[in-house]
Amino acid sequence: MLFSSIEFLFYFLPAFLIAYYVTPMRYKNLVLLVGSLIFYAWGEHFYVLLLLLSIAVNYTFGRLIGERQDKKKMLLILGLIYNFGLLVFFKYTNFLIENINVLLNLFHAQIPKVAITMPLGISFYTFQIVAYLVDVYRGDQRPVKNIINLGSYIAMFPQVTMGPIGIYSELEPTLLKRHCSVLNLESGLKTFILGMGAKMLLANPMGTLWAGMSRYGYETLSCPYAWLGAFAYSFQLYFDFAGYSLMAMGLGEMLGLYVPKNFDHPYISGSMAEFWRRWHMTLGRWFKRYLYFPLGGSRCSLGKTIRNTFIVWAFTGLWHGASWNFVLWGLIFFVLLTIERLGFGKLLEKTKVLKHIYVIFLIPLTWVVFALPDMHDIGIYFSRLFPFFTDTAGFVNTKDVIHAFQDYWYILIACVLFCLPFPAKLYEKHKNNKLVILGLLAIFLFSVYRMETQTSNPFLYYQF
Amino acid sequence: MDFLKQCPLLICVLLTSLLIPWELLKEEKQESASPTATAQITTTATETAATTAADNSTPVEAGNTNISTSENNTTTTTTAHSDGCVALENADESYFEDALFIGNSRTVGLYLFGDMPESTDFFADVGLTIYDVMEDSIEVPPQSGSYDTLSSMLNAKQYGKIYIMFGINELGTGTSESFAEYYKSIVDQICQMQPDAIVYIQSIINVAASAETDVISNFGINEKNAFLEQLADNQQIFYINLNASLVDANGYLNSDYTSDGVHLGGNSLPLWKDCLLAHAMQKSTAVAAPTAIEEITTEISDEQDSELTD
Repeated sequence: MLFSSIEFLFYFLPAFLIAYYVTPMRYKNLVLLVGSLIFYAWGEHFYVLLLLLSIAVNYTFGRLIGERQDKKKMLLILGLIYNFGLLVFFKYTNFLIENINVLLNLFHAQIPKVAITMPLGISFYTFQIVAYLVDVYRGDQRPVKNIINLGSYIAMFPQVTMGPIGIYSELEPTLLKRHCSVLNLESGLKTFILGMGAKMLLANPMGTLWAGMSRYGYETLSCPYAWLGAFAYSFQLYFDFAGYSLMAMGLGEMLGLYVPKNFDHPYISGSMAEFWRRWHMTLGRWFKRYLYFPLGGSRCSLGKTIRNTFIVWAFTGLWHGASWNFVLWGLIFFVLLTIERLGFGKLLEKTKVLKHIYVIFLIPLTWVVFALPDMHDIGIYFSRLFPFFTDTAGFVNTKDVIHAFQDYWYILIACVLFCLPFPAKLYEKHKNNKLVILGLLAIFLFSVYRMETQTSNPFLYYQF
Repeated sequence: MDFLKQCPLLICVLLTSLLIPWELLKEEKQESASPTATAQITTTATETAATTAADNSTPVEAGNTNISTSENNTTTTTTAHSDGCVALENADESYFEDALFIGNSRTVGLYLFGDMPESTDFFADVGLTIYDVMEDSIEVPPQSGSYDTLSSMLNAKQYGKIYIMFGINELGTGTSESFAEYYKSIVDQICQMQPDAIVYIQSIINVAASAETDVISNFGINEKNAFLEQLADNQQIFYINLNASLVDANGYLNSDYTSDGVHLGGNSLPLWKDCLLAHAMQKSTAVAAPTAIEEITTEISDEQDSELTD
């Protein structure tokens, strides 16, 4: 069930909120857990059993790690094997088979692919569970005694499908004691509507523009149209995921629960390192806390730091999807971040405009690699972005970019505006103003209109 | 009341939600159905299809489900050919010079990247369907910024050939029968307005495996194509199967020819054009007795060809 869907907005959410609000505080977490399981089962059917199993297994591991200090290392390893084992099985089995088949081809043998559909949100909830187990192991977190609380942390519906990737100790205070009033509902609803608007009114039209790029083959794109496509995809991905994250935060507010912030105007960054402190912040934090720092982080020799960066980015790439383009995409960031670390970053800091130009033009190029699973397509797309060495006379539609601007100029302007911090500041200052309330109502109604009239609108990060 | 003051947005949202006209929205969704459409089998389009088809003076036979072979007489097929049109060997691109292409985004691709003659006309738009082809005013030629309707184009100029391709955007709407019925009513209107043009019904091109969804399937396409094939009378109206040269062994659009799995890539369009030229027809009696054709066409315009046996 998508947050931006009629079922969610007009059936699930109102029913859930009524149940949640009439229930006394003591039982609110139980309602949250049951509601979340219904939410998950709505779209995923039997995979809800896997989610339940994971809650039970990890509850047990958490307790055992806390109680059996002598064997905690082995218990942690077992827990990691269980959780990552499931993730690898569901997400990477076919990718492994594909690559083994490439080798087997030499001997004219093939392993057939298996029909596995990935359980929704497994990449996200696995990371939440691992964060909890490791924190218990390190002694940063006491093992949770109440399975309903841990279950709520793992399965709670604002987060289970697409993050933000939480940490138990952050959620715990609000999980144990929270304030729920209509004021929460009002302010949460505002945040939720902002996110819904970003998704429905900015990300979706940009998605349509981007989808048009592949229509007649990437060979046919004029150079400016190819660039417009790269920017359109950059806007789509940002407003899609940041919009979703805002909706999750808004739902958290409505329920009185803490949901961490996931985006902080990434496109105004002045370096790749800064970009990754502002984009999908909870994923970056997870890799830092549970992979980069344990490896030694940057507090060791330069060689080891580079090695650690490499490992983190190879995994970040793979986490996004079982495909080589994601690995390539991760490695591009490894190279860029390493270059910045080696001194380029210091140089950039001294410039005022250049550093922004560097980010604004380089990031869309990385997203092109991210967007196209076929290496051959990536090659063609880049040959259209930089058409100096290729000759495709005859096939290129030189008017395409003008036509696209005619259709999308106002949305493009809105996208640029909302990538900047000042609309958010303005909103924060005047969010109780009557005009702002009316504006939000208009966004809500227009988004609902789009939901009913548009034909498909999945979230991009659902597939990861 | 404090509640009212504290939660203006919540109250507004709740109140307006009660007033949303869901039925109207559903109808609009129907109209905006696109290739990425989710299944929306609502009644509006099918109803209009049925009524328009019924209003039409020509009896609707092709719409019937049973693809009967009882009246199968292959001899008439060949003679019918020789009565109206004969195959034109070695047709070249100049054949398209007095042609009009009608279709959706796939045909837009042919206009944009097909390297067609200057004088070839196109009435095609992204998302255009057989259901709105007669009503909609769209950019003619595509992406030009100036708008026109199909009927005004058909009134303004005598075409030698008219190529039609629809069906991919209609996959989520109605049944194959209702689609073919409506298609026939459009073809009939075109034939009436352009009695001297050869009308080609192009098969719906199959999609690649990557583009198959619940709604968009080659199964659905093949079913619709079987009905379309029946619409040909092989005198003025001809059916061209494009798939033969475009699909792989499993019936999927060859992935080498497409990028998004639905549209032919710019550099694969010659395959499409070659297929059209290979099936080019010309009026057999055009030079000898121009008046005779009209008689023949009107006389036997209702006759059904039942070449189709599979």
